[in-house]
Amino acid sequence: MEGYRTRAYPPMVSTKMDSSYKVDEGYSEDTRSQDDPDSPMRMEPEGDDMLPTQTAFDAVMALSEGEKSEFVYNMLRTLRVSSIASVVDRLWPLFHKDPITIFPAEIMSQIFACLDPPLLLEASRVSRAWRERVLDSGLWKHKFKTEGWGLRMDEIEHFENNYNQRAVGSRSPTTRTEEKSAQKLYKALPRVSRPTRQTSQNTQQDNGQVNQEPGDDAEMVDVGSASPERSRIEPAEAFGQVDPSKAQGKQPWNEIKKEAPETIEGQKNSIPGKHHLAQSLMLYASPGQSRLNYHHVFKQKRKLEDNWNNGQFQSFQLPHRDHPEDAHTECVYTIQYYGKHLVSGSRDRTLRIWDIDAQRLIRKPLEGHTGSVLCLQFDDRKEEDIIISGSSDTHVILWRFSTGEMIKQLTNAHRESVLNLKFDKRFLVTCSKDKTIKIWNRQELRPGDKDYPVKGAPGGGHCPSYILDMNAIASTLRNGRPDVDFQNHLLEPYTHLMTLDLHGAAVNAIQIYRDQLVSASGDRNLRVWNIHSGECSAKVEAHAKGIACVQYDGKRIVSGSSDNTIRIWDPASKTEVARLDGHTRLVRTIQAAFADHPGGRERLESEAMEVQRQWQAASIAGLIPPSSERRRQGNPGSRKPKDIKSVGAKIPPSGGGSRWGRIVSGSYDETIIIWKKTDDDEWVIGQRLRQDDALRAAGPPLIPRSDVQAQAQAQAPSNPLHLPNHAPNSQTHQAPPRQHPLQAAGVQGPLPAHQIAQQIVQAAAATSQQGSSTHQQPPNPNQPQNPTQTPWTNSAYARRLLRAQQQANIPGLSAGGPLNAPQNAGQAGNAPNPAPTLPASAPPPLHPHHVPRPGPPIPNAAQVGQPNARVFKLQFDARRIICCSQDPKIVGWDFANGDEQIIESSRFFAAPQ
Amino acid sequence: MAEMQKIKLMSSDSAEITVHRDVAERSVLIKNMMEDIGEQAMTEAIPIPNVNEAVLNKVIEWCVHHKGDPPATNDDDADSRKKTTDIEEWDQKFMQVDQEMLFEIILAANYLDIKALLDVGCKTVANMIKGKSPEEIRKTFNIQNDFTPEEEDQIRRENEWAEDR
Repeated sequence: MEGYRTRAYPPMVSTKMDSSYKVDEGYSEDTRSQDDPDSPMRMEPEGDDMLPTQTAFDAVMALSEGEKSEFVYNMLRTLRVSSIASVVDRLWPLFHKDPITIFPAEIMSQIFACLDPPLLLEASRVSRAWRERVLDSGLWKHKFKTEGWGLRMDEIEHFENNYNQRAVGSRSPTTRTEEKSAQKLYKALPRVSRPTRQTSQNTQQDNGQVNQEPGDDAEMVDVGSASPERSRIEPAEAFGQVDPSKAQGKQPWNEIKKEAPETIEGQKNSIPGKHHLAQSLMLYASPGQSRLNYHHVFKQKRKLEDNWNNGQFQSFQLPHRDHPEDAHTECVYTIQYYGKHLVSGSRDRTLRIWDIDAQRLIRKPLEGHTGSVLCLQFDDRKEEDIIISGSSDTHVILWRFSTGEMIKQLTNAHRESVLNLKFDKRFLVTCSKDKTIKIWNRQELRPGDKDYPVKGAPGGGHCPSYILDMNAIASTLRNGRPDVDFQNHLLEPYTHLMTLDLHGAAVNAIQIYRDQLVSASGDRNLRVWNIHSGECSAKVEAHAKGIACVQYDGKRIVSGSSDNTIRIWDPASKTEVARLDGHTRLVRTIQAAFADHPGGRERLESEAMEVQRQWQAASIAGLIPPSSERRRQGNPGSRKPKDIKSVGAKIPPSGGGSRWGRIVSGSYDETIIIWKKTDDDEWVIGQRLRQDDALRAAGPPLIPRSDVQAQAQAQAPSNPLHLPNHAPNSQTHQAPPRQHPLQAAGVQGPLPAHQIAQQIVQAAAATSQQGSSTHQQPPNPNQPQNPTQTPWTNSAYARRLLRAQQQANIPGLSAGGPLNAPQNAGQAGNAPNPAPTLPASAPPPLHPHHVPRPGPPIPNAAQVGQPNARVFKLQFDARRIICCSQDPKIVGWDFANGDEQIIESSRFFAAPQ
Repeated sequence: MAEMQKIKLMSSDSAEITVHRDVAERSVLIKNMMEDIGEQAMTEAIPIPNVNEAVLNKVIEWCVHHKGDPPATNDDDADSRKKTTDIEEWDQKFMQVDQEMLFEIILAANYLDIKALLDVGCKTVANMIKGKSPEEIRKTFNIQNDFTPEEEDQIRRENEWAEDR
């Protein structure tokens, strides 16, 4: 042993280390190299002189693993520390292996799937191999879903098919295989991308507008042969241009693929521009096999979300500025849109169908109602092809979407105004100022059908006499004598099936979710009903005042009320899980999207359990103050034990969902609030949009002055929302106002319009400075400059002033009428000013307890700048908010903000849920 | 008693390991094999040609500890419900091995089709990546940086969209 320690071992060590060092990239070989009969160290001792060493070596190698390791340790200990360090250094690769060289792709994908996108992108900077793997499209598709975002897979499939059909027909096949060429080509990257940068900089000078590139590269490809209306595909060269700071941002991996053919074949500029263009959106595999690049789509979605959170948008309006003749002639109470179609319903008694992209009507207005159109729903799919509308004329009308013809009229569907309606494939549900909800069938029904009403359930709805009690019949059948001829009891579509009449005031809003129906009423209650039997499964005393709007997604109910709050409810435990304070007047319209992570209800329940567990622990520890001391203004979603108002909910505070959850609410305070969640899961005001800003941006007023006057008079009483006037502390239950919309119209006579107009012009001129400052958005430095600033500012001003004066000159016009938000009625009584809007320059007040605004008479000077921009209805999708109000114009905010790449990808984004 | 049945596994380096059948059947591969070859499996050692003795012992150690776990589901939703890189304490300790062993365990779990073990292994590697700069990741895994400085710059800019703003 002594002998080889000094003589023979060092070369052995050296050989062994060399061998392991060399194969440090080839992991699996390395671990077994000791047994390799061909290894150099086996060969080496064959020389005659080496025989003793050979023997010694064999002796060592014959030892067990444990003995060997003990031997090597002792051997190493004979070295100087610096030598040991150098050995350890050389052994380093043995302990540190690149997993990408070891694991198959699916394991790497699973590892990367554990990392959040920012971490992934850090990992993509490690090496080319890592970047390739990290930018794997399938991984980002998975990431997209785990963020809580939805994809329109039907649209994606459609798009891919069309793209590939086009590609096969139009493009010369490339011989390249991208995997092989990628590494090689990457080296050429800086060179080939240089011209691109220059172009980017050129474009940058155009104020961040995405423009066509000059020359060949400018060629736009019409990818969407299936959707010609949005046929522009962004040139890949424009990547990142929209944000000038990122104008040079490139995506190397995509670029490799994009540039590969021409570089490899030395055919620069021989590939048509269109071949470049789609590469960022589409990944090329082989001709006709291109697939959507989900990394790109994810990125666009994230950019879009950032625009929402940062208030980056472009506003737009219906009608197009050049076609004011398309517009409604009076205020617009209701809208719905899907894809490129929007349908609106107005006080002018018409419905209008719009092409949102063209901002034009697609056919002439639908006429048939004899009162204001208050609610509607449409489905433009071929199999449905329908619009259903409800009106203050008490009728419900069915229209064919594709032709605009009236299909059917449900005359006197209710005794009073039809305030809201919803339909699915099975049922139409209507609700009314007459305090009732009615259910109608949309398909022919026979007794015994699944959707045939369940009559006679205890606590169930009231069915007309022609509805059979199937339970009663079942008992007669048991006696063998079916005495009913079912054929005579066939229910035609749109037969009245059932009435639900438990609400004590007007039913303002309803929502269908599967077999459940949720209603919101002026009686301050929410109710949940079984749509088949009409049984009321839950009654929630939800608000301090009447409820104007409601949404239910199967997990939580969100309601907006005349008490100025938005509240989120767990229907299972009937507990309030969040309360959102921010509006200063009636919350009239709301949409909520919680962007749930995959995992559904179970996930929410386990989150709720965890919150409850912590609350109990804190409670036991005496950390929870008595309920009287806890904050009374409600919890916007905090999970801190001291903030929890009630326990036992099946959903966590805030209602749960991902960080991308969003609520958008519209109010009579003339603002729209985009609510977002903090990192602590509390709802806060993300953006506050002023309806009036959008209206002003949308162009000059549409209504001639003389009409404004008439409308201002008539508007208030016709307002479709019906909330009883409750004094905040009143014990008595006042009946809701029953004033007929038209009763109050035309009673009062303000100044003749031309006189007012004169005053207005003067006043507007004098106050224009004040006016412009009045409408500054709350801090939002990034907001694009209002493109339509000056030309008609004065006229918009004049219009508002006119209205303000008219309102001030019409005592009691609204104060006692349903328009008036009840808090005014409670304290202000018949205050002459029915709409005491806050001066807009004041910061949004933070009311801890929402003391009802007293509504003191505001001097005329303060009313300058007071628009008629009460928000009636809004809707949002992945990209836009569209909103209607007291103005005939419909306005929208597009958070794609002109970014063509976002626009291109947004067709694949499901509407948030 | 079925649970007490023992079977033999043969590692790639020809070591025979005896193990309770229900433990071995945490591996979907072995379970399916057992179903296919039936009684023969009781008498002859089942060859596991891709896994050496040391790794196989480690895998069996894991299976023994987790034999009472509810069976794996194919429910992706259920998986994503767990916080992505949370690992229970025992598993964390179990995974405190050198990289070579860790990677071999992962490969073995993949080959033997033991989903829960594969999950734990992948999470462990993910945690080695998490919170590290690219340079630190390179060091951890002995990776050569093959980007030019210009490319690094480009990629950094390209990645900016994911930063929280």
